[in-house]
Amino acid sequence: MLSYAIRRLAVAVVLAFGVATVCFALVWFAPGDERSDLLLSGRGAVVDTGPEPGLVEAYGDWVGSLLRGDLGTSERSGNVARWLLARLPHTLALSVSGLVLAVVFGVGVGVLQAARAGTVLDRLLTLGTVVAYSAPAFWVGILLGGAFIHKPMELGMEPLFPLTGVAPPGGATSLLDYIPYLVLPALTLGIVLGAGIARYTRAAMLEALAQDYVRSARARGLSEMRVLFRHGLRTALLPLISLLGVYLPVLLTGAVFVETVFSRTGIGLAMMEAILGQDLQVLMGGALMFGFAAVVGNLIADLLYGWADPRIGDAVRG
Amino acid sequence: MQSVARHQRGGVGLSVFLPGAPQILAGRVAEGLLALMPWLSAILLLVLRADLVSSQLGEGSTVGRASMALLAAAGLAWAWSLRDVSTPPEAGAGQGAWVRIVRDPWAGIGLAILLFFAGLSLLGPPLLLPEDPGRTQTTEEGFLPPSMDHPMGTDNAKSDVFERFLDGARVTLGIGLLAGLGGALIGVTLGAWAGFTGGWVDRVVMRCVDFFIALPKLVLLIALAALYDLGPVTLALFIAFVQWPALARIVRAEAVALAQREFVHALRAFGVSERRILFRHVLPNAQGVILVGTALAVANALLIEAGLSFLGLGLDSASWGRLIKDGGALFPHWWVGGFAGMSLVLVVVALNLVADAVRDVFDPRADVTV
Amino acid sequence: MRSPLLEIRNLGVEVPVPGGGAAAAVDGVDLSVAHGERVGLVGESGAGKSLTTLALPNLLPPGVRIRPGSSVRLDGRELVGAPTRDLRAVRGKRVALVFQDPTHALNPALTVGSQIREVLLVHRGLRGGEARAETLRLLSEVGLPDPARTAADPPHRLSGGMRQRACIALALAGEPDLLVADEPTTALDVTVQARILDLLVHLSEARGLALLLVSHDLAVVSRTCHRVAVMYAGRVVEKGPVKAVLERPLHPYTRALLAARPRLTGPRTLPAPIAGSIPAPSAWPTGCRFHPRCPDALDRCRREAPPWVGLSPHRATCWLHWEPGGGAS
Repeated sequence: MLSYAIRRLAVAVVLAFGVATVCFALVWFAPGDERSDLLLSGRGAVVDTGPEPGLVEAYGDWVGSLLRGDLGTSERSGNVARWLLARLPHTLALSVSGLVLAVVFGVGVGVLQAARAGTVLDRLLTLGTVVAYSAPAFWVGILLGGAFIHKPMELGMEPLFPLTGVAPPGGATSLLDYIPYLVLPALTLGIVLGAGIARYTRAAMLEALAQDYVRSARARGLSEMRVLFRHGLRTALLPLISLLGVYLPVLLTGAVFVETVFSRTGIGLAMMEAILGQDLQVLMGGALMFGFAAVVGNLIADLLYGWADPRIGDAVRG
Repeated sequence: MQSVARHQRGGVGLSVFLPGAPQILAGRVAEGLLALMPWLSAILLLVLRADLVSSQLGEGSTVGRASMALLAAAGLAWAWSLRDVSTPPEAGAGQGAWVRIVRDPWAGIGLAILLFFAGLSLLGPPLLLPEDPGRTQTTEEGFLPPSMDHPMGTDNAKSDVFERFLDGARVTLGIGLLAGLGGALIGVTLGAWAGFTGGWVDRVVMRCVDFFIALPKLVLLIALAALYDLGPVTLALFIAFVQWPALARIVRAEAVALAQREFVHALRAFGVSERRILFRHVLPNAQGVILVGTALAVANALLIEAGLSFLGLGLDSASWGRLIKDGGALFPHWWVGGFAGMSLVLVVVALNLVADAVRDVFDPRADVTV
Repeated sequence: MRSPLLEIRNLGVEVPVPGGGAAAAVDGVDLSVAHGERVGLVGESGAGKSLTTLALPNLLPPGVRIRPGSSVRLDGRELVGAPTRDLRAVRGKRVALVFQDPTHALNPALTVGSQIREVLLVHRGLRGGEARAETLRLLSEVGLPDPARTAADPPHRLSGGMRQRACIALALAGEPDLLVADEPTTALDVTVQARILDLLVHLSEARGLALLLVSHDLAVVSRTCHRVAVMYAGRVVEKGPVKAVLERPLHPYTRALLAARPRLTGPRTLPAPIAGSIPAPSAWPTGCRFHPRCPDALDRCRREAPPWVGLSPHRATCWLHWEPGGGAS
């Protein structure tokens, strides 16, 4: 298990390095001249003194400042790292609550479908999950916003949830104040991601329930609930853990769109504003942060999988 | 037997007026809709825009060619349906994989939706929009609800939403198709090559795949689209470039499994060249996963294009994503973004339905029943 | 006389036939098992042995059903048609099943110990230290050398023989009166097979546990059981004490089964395979179902189902031994 963990960690470091390199290449090879500003501002140098640094030199400087946690400074937002870190909690809160909702929805619906396979309920839910699975996060967000905020307002009622933002105008006095602002955005991510999880869970459950050990479990007189959840779901869920690693990029990009739709001041919205304000440092910093988040999430999923599946540890040892 | 014959006669009568309807009633939804749609569209066109069609039909103009195409399609559909109804069903026919996909009701609905939007984006602009493009650009008022003049209303800039919707269909579907097929091509080639060759090629390709799959690709595309000026082809290329890894992984797995099968060893023993084995024997056996992967890649590419446009980062020209962005909140002006949003979901659902049906037909393990 | 522990009367099991309809894969089986008795059920694959065992606590796969008019009584209580809740109280608690393939009978995601403790909790209400102690006791009872370690292991770390022992421990956890073992040694190495069989006999004697052992191998049954029933094409064709059936088989099918197995003692003759195989349930022959493969088939065998012949307890259904006016050979 330890050697497995170390190996996954090494892979994650290489991945993170790759993400940083891709970001660098994006800027370096882009047309226009503000790119070199970006690269130089990373080390705080003055642009117009001396010759332009070569590719290797600039890359080295950039990676060096990155390792120090320095994402440069910009006129619009000051210290980019600090600017983004201040917004990180909102993105994290959205992603984590979206993921939790997605797993709850997805696993719940998938198990229900597998337990009632072939019934009308199963078919309706199959259709529903296909539709939800096919809808882009921004459109689901707009639909939810329309149904719970804008339609009530059009009818002259109080909207069910606050319009936009992350906290009441006067600032939050307690953590509870954030929750009404989180409901619809998290629900959006939960629906979009949960549909995929439900489709997966249904198929995996049906496969698990067809196994011999499920028949053996029934032969031991275990209740249907126990068979379904302890014996069926448990095996079906193992691969779901690694699937979450695959879903993570979807979750993060979903967060960008959801933040845009609901004007949540997270990293995604900061990136979009940076594009409008020509604030390249923030744009690249945001892209880097999302990239690193994906790498870390993948690592967590891998480690969880190794921890949960007894076979992995052995396969690595053997 | 007699009731069958009577049913057939009734089918002939119905088929004359509504080609495709007998097939739909018999449960062959896809074939029926494929015949019914061009027929109904042609009738609708003749009723609504008789003057336009009659004046342009002989001409070599876009409108003339488009009307010719639609009328020809309607004629073909009519003839096919009549012939199909009057010939008795062949015993034992229709067991092939492709026939089973087309006859699957859900896949049939999916195919019909895809055909509808393909026809709409190709034939819609010349046939359904007024000849003078300047006229709709300046309507009297912004945010007019749907009406006969403006089937999808008007937006804040006082332009006709229907016109923007049709233009957007061309952009979104076109780039989605191009990027999806491009990504599928790269993915299938690399995946088959890696899986069939094995060794270091396999390792290098699969490391790249792992790397790409772990990336939040859309975030990188956002940065890319913000930094570079993208034309339609470059945009499609970049979307294709983030599409290939998923397909490469599936095709590789299939190629690895197939490469170990007896018949491949046998072919080698007969002296068949590696390339021939790969293209003539391994890839055709993987057609199921390739098809599923391609459909999903196109669906994904559509969503990415619409997403980028929604963020204001796509092409400058119209796109469904841009229309949804301009629609803003759904209420009170639901018509601005609503049609585009619903259509986007419909097309992606259709692609998923087709992909599911293909998967069921080609992978019998998938329909595990308890 | 005490009533038998298990009494099967006229059991029929219907399986769906491709193209619609149903066929009786098990067709009128009568069988009883007394308390502490070991009974063997023998036949080729396709004879309906496994379906018979699965039908006892109604664990038949979807689409397969017990024919109306069948009766399965456990200590006099009817199980056919009993509500699932009652059946669950029987499964594992009164009647435990051990399956052929121990690799797939254990949940790969759970440790052996936790699967045993689950049964202890459900059927005996044991939890905590009590359950742990009982788990170790069961694992050592079935002869696993290091119970503490085995309990903490996931199934894939055990060898095939150890897995089958773990499955037997699982079956014992509910303290059943009847153990139904469906080809429990078929998937195992030859050397391991004998030890598992010895274990089953030992457990049966030590616990007073009745055993219904299903096998395609008469030798397996002969070294374990008191009585044997031979099944062919959904029906029991011969039954009786093991010794009698093996030494003086009445039914030509039983004779063929005996001739088909290699002998290590006696005259060195090659085993004689039985020509052909059991047809599918939808295509079972009329009359005696064995007649197409029977070397001695009479004209009558093709037309009429044979009656039971022979002196109780050793009886068979065969026209060859039938004498008008009753009696037997």
